[in-house]
Amino acid sequence: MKHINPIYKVLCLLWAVVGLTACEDVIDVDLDKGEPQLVVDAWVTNQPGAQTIRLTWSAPYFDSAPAKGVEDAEVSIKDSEGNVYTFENQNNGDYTWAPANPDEPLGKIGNKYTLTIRQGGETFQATSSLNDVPAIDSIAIEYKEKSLEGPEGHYAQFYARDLEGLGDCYWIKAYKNGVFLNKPSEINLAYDAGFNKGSKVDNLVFLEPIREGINPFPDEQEEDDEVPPYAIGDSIYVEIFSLTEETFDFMVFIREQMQNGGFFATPPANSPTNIVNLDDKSTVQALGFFNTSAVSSLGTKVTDKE
Amino acid sequence: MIPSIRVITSLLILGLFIQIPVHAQEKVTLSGYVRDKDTGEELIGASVLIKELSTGNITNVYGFYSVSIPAGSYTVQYSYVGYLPVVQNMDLTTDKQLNIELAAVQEELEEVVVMGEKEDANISSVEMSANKLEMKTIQKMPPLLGEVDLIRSIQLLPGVTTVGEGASGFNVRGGGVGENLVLLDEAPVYNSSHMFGFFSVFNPDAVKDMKLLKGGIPAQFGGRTSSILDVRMKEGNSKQFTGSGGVGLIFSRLTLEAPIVKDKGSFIISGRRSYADILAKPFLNEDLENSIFYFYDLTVKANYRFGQKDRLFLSGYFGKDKFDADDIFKSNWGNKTGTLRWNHLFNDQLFFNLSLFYSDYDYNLNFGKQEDSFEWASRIVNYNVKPEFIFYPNTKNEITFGGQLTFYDFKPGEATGTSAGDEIDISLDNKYAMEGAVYAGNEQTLSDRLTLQYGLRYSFFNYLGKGTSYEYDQNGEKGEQKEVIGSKEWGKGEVIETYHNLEPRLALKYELNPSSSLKASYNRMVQYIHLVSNTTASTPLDVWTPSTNNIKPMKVDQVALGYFKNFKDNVYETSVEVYYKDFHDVVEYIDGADLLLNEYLEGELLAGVGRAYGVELYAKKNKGKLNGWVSYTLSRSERKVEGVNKDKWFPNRFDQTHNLSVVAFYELNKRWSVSGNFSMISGTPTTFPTNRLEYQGYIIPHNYNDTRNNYRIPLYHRLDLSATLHGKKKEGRKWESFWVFSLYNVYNQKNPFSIAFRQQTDRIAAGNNIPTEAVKLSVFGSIIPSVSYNFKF
Repeated sequence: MKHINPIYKVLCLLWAVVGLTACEDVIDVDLDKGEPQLVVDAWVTNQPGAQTIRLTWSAPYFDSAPAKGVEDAEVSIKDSEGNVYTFENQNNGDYTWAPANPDEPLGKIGNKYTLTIRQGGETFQATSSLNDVPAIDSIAIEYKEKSLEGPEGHYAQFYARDLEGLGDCYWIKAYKNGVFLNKPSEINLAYDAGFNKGSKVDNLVFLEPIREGINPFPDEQEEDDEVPPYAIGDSIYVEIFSLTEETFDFMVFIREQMQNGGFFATPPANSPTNIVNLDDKSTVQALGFFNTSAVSSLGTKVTDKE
Repeated sequence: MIPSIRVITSLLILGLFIQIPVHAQEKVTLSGYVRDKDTGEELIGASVLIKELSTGNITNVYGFYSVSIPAGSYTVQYSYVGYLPVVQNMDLTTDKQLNIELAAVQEELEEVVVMGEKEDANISSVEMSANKLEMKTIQKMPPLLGEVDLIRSIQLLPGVTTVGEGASGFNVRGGGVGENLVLLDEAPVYNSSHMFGFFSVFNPDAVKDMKLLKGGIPAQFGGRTSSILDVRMKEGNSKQFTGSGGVGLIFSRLTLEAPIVKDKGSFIISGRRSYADILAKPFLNEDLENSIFYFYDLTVKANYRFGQKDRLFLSGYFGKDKFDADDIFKSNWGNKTGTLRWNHLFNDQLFFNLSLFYSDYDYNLNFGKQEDSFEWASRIVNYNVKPEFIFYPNTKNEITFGGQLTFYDFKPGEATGTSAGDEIDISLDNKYAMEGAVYAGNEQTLSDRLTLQYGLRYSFFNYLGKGTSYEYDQNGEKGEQKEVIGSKEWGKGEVIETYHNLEPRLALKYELNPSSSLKASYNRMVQYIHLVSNTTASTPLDVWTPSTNNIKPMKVDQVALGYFKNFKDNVYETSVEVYYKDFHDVVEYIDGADLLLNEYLEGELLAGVGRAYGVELYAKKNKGKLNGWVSYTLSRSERKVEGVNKDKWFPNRFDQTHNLSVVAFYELNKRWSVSGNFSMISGTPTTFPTNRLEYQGYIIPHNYNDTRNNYRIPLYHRLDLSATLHGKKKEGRKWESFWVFSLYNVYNQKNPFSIAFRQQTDRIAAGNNIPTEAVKLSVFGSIIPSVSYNFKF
């Protein structure tokens, strides 16, 4: 269900019409607490300059404070050419690699990378390939009348064509006026030009719901029909990150788990991880994911000629 | 505990042979049909009693009875609850055919009857784990939005549950929604719901009889593991033109019945259409203004008698739910069924029915405009033939035998996507299969007290080409997606995989005294097609898949024991039943399974085992101004799947420990009656997180113990009330009418459907705290009043 995102949304909408009186309430729940576990947030790109990997501890579910950083780890990445990149501990959970020459990138399309983390006597490893990414051809702005899709106003779409061959995965990130659209519902993922592996939509322009996925979702308090996604003068910036297929599955999974609920919820489950403890007898497990991405980007401004 | 197949087979053969010498004595056969005097409708389960011999029979689903007894003179009583009995003295020297018409008890005199048949049928019949609700009863229960509903009503019976209001289908004794065989005039209905699960596809005005079998299922039924819901449509009034209907808040109904040739043939046509969209319009946002949302269904049936021995029935159902939102989105889904039946009497003792039926469930979705669009259609179609014989050699035996053959055509997804003008076909291949069965069973009265019902069903299934079969890597991590390691192309009609099974069935009744009996049953059921669904409530888009080289058929063994006791001359009826079910090859899903439009669906499925057990208490008052029932079920339904919940047992999504229902009807006076029902149900299991992970600025829920269904949502309870006002009846006028006023969810309980965990949905600036919350979803957040006007003429 999850990959065919628009279908799911429409079903929920439809259901909301049927169950006219359905309602959601925030409630108090007593939850068990688990032991803190190492969480690896490792996302390395082919962009020039410094790269940061973040290591934190998992916390009780309702603990809203920022996650506590892991401060006693050693972090390095080795690429398939044999180069080793050591990440320096910044003592706040961040581990940073900075090149001698600020234009030098860490990642290179086609290479494989192995991440090694030593922490608390355990050694963890993860591998990832850095895949290619298509260029963004254009960002189109359209003025739309009020409809089922939202209020009257300016709507954006980006145009890019999926690379040839099956199995290319992408995360499309959008920024409005420099602010990353960071809601779980705004995570915009593509498998080839479509939503999932089974559908085999190869080498097409990304399907419309993906192209439109760069419009911000309104907040709950805002009247849905009053806040258009973009207004004249706003800037739009779009990035496509290439993903490995494992990362794509992981991202789809967490997107669903973060929004799982309602009538057609799927069984909640733990997110997968590609971080492996080299000692397979150890009971200590790390969480999170290591991915390497190539990035393409394009920006534009909403002007009144649209 | 589980009798071997050989024992059952021997019993069956023995049963047949024992009777042959008996048959050679000088015997006469009394046979015929029992019908309603006003409408000509055959009565199902009416009793025929030979008083001198204290023996008799009941009519079958076509209203036919046959009793073979030594020649002599007898007093024969024909009776059916809610009807005046007919007693006739007759000298039986030769075989005799006698059709009897029973007159319904006049409304004014009637002591309201909750359930029908023989008054002590629950004691004297071998049948157990079965529930029958009269349409009369269903029509008195508090309606939702003015409409009573068959499936919502059966959820108040012991052993029957649902995951929540508005959820499609129902669960029986710990089985899934797709494990119920829902039959409408013998044709299977693949999605029994309209508007998700708020209403079922059965138009109450067109239904004559329904029976739910939860256990002790006889050999003529098969193909699903948990239950059989056998719904029979009315034949139509063969005496005169009549009609009935109603106008409610959500939809209106109209039913017309008339003879084709008086007393020889009749038809019924019954339709409903909802107007939720029209009513909802003022409440919808402007942007939804042009949306269309409604459902309709049409039930038609005709029958004709050719002489004394032959009768033809033709019936059909067409239903559709439709939802369009401007030109952005169009969708519809619905069932179509068609049944042609031929009843033939070979002789007074051998009744034959041949059914040919067709059933189709499909849905279509369409997004967007030409340049950028997505179209998707899916369906399951099947064609069936089912011959069945019922042989009445004597009063001690009733032998049923026959077969069934079904051809399936699955279309899991025919889809095209168009992006910026480029079109691409992303359809999945059709899948084909054939399922067949032959069966024989006997209901044998061994003594006044002991009755046995035994039978054997042999079923087989062929997964057929044309198509591609895949081979998956079975050595990967358990509970995770399996990789394809090979594939093979198959030509049209080639058998890709085949399965066959023997399904023994056994039930016995021992009457302790005229008001109490003990019953026991065992059945094995095999299911070859599977409803693929891992969402909380099943959706109209769920896809059925055949058993394949990778998906094994599901098997369930069930044993049940029951004690039945009536009090005060059958005014009170009580029962206690316990059951245990063993499930094999239950379909489960990997975490995050992708089930729609996925060519490699089989790689996302897991096979597990399950067990369900429980005790069902039931007490019912049949007569008097105040009547109704109390039902309580204590049960457990669990699964064990490699790679899920650390390979340990876990309660499944529809496990409900306690389930209490109270249903009451009270007749205030001739014009006013009231009814109410109250339900209290344990919360269903669900998985709650313990921890949170921060990743890329998102908060991901995490369960440290990695357990499935580690919590339960809170208790569910609800009260509904209704009052019926009958219009004044005028002498000599056929027109009758009544108003129904109802309150659903009387004390405005916000019952939880589910509890979900999420980070706050508002945008949170980078660097700020990200709060997490638990959210309860209630399907009904308020009391729902309604009114409807109903009429008959």
